Amino acid sequence: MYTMKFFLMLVFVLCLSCSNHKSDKISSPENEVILALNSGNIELALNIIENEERRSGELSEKWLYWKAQALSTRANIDVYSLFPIVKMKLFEVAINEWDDVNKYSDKQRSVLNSTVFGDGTNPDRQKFLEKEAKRIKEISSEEIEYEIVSEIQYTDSYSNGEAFCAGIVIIESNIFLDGRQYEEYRSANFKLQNDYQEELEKICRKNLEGPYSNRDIGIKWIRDIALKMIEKKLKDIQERKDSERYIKAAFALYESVPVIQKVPDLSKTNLDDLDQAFKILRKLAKKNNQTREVLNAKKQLGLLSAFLILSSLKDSIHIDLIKDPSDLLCYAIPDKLVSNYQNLLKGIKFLTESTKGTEFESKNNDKFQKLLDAIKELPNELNEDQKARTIYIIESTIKESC
Amino acid sequence: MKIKRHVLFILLNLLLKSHVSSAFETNHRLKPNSNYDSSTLNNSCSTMKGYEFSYRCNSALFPLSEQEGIFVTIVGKSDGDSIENGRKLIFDPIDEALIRKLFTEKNYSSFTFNGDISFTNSLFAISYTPYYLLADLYLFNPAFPEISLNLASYESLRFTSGHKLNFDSSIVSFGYSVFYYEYTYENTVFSLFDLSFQKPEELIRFKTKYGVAADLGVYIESFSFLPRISFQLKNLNSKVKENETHTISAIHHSPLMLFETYSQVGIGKTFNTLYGGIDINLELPLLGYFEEIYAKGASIGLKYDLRLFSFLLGVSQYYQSLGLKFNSNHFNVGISYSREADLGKIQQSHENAIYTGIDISL
Repeated sequence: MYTMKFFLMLVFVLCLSCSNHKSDKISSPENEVILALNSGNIELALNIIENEERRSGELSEKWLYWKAQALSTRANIDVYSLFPIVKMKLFEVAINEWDDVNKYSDKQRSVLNSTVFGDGTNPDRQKFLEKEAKRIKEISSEEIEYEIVSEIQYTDSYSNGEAFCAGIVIIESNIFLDGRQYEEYRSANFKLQNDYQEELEKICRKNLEGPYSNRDIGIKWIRDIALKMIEKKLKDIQERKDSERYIKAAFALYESVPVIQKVPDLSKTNLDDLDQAFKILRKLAKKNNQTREVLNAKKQLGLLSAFLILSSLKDSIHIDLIKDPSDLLCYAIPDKLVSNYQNLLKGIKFLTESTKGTEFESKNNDKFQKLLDAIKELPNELNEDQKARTIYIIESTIKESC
Repeated sequence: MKIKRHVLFILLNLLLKSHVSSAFETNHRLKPNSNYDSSTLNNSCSTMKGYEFSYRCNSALFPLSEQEGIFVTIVGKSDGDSIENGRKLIFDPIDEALIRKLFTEKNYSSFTFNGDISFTNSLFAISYTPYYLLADLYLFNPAFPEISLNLASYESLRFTSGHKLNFDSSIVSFGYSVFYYEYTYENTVFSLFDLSFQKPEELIRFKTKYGVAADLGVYIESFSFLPRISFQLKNLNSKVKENETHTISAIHHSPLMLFETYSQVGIGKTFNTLYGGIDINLELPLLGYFEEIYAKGASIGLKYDLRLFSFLLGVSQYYQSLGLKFNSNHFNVGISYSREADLGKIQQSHENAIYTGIDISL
């Protein structure tokens, strides 16, 4: 009897529970967008987003983000096409060796850092020179010692009592860099009382060493000479850095050739969709909040910018013929380089935008600003004259160097 | 009279509260305190009395079992698409074909494992589960790939006991299982981009919850033609809530009916044949305190016991499994083939998996 009662109660309970099927509700629109993107049904994804826009009036951050994903996929930029770039970073190291992945990315980051900004080969030397310049400016006159020696190289005297001599003045001082000597070629015209060689040499030396004989004037000149020595050295270091930077960039580009070869062709990319995706991602990246959509937008902006740069380079160079870093110039296609100028510039601009607010930017703030200023000076578009001139310069360089 | 009041309480609790589900709810066949039998039966075994695993399905079956001894139980997924994908991702060179396959067909992977040791006598059972492990991975958005990852480790120390009441024409049994648990989990989303530039400890930060919870069960058996009935409340007082760390979120997924409070109603019958008995059980899971039937989780379990061998079958909308178990005095081993879709109709294709289980009696 009890069992029958329990059974009836059970049926009653189940009937009441059965009347509501809220757990079987249709999945959310966002869920449907994700499923559509995953299965490659982009038109369905965009339809759902459009419906959401009609429903709510304006797309929220979340929905703007999904729209950018759909447009990017329709532009033929997705994990499959970006796979060579992603693979280079991620999959060449086994996932279970996390430390190696980090070391690999640290190495690439430092190469990128020194390639773009040029850390120089001698940072300690540079610091030393700057410190030395400060010391020389502050050192008191009494502490400065110097010695002058002159070497007469040529003398001549005339019947009218005038004479001429030339020679080298050699100065040694305790404030000259690395104990160096300073040499200066000087000449003088003067009058002779008597035409004696001994007197001639004596007066000649006096004239050659003249300014330095007076200690007050001499100290000032010695100090200036010492500072100019350091200035020249700093300039040499900067020029060496610039050369090293260009060489490193060329090597970095040469090493990236296997990746560039696999990046999708620009001709297969729907640039209109890509532009729209860029527009949305830039809008999201400018926001200050730290939502997933904003953070992802910044990273994706960097990735797509890298794609734009690499695919433009691929289009502008006979990439399959590159065997040596110097081939990068020799196999450049001048008119293609010029026609891809806008894409290259856009890629570089958006790439710098994507690094704003990152650790990379904060560590290289002043140099970052110089890079942004340099980019600002470039024209957005080349006019016909600039195009023709650029093509001419590239063709001439190729002709001379290759 | 007391029983009537309890049932009335359940009826009154049928406030049809709306179930706010996350977009990606995941179900798992292998639950904490499961063994090979209960998982192969899709946990549809709350009226199958008299087996070593019976009290794992329903604590109210404890007074009706006669097992004594020390047992070690291990069960887990030993092969399947998830494991194959994981192996390829970790050990093989990744190619575009695999990535494309992962996004379009196999974008969800799941791994579960349970191992415990228990001591049982006629009065109580104590079991310690050092490892119940769960790992769900969902890959989405080919334009900027992201991974939704759910990791959980559930350690517990459980005390089970119960009492039965004999009536003229029926048996009513009550059981309870009180356990201390330590729930370590992380449910996060990160991009492949993050994965290449950050260490895993920066992406995955485990959190832990501790607490004491209980399972309560009632089993009613009639000596007449009526089926056996069971009611269960699982994870009473659990600090783990459904949709734990976030409200509705399309990109996170959270397991359902594993760690949070839920209920079950079972109806079963045994048919005796010349060559052994066939136990059939229909299990209906309900959300919360008997609030709403989770129809998708309704399952039928069938066990055909031939002493040395057992055939097990578990069928539900998204899980179908067929298993064979070898029984001996000290050692039971089972293998089952399973076709499963943890994500339900959202999952693009079923996963074919093989589960292996071992029960050792010391």
